[in-house]
Amino acid sequence: MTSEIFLFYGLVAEVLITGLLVVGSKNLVRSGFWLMPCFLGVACLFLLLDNPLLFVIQLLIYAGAVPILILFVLMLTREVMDERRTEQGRLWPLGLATAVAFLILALPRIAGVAQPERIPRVSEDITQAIGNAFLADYVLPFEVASLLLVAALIGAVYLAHSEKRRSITAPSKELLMEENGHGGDTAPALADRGDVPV
Amino acid sequence: MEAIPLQHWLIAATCLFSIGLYGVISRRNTIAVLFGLELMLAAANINLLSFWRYKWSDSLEAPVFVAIIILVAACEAAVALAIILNIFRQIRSVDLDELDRMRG
Repeated sequence: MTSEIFLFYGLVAEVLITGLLVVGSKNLVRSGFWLMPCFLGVACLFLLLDNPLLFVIQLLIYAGAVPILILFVLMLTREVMDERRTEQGRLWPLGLATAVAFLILALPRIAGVAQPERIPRVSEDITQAIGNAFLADYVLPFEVASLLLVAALIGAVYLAHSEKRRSITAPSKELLMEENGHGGDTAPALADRGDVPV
Repeated sequence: MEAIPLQHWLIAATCLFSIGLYGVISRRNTIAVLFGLELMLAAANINLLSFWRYKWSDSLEAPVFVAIIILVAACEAAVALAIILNIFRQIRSVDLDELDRMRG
């Protein structure tokens, strides 16, 4: 019984400290890596709440996939974001004020939440029950969610690729100017044809 | 589990949410704003699941809801990162202060 209490407060401390490091550290790659232990702690909190299925989902998607994806994009878009520019924006006092105001508004309401006198038990096969629910009562949200996944997949691939294809068929202005500077009179001929050999 | 009061779960989730809120408002890089957003979503999930565990753990609405929140958030992250990548190709920056055009 007491080990659970220690586990809970330890995990909460870990999540909050790594969360602060995520929003606070100046190097964005570092704060992206702090996202992983933070979500790992959140996943363990789900396990402490007797929900092993959501623990695994959180572990796979949040502690694994999403930070990796974010770190990839961070490194792809990082060449102009040097150390000098990754520091906090001008709005950080406003952000701090909003966060503190939110805490001040929310905490008295939490103090008013009564501890339930009888905590219901969680059945042993909660994972099986959730699985059955997804295929019986919640089959429509389940199917809509899978449609959304496909749409997001296609949309993300399209968005990430379209500009590249366009720049091959119709070169952007900067590319043409660059070629004008370097290659003399071959660039205007290319511009007339409207494509650039790769 | 029963020894931990429900309020402590809610306080932990609230603190995590306000950390995320601070990140969303104060950061200047679009991807760092996304970090804060993910923290806020995690806090909301902790809140939902702790209410489920303490009051309604004989029903299945909350776990289903949380699973779908996680899924939608993953979709949102993927599309947002694709958009950020596209913006970066257009104007060579992901600084929120410089994103002031709707058209490339």
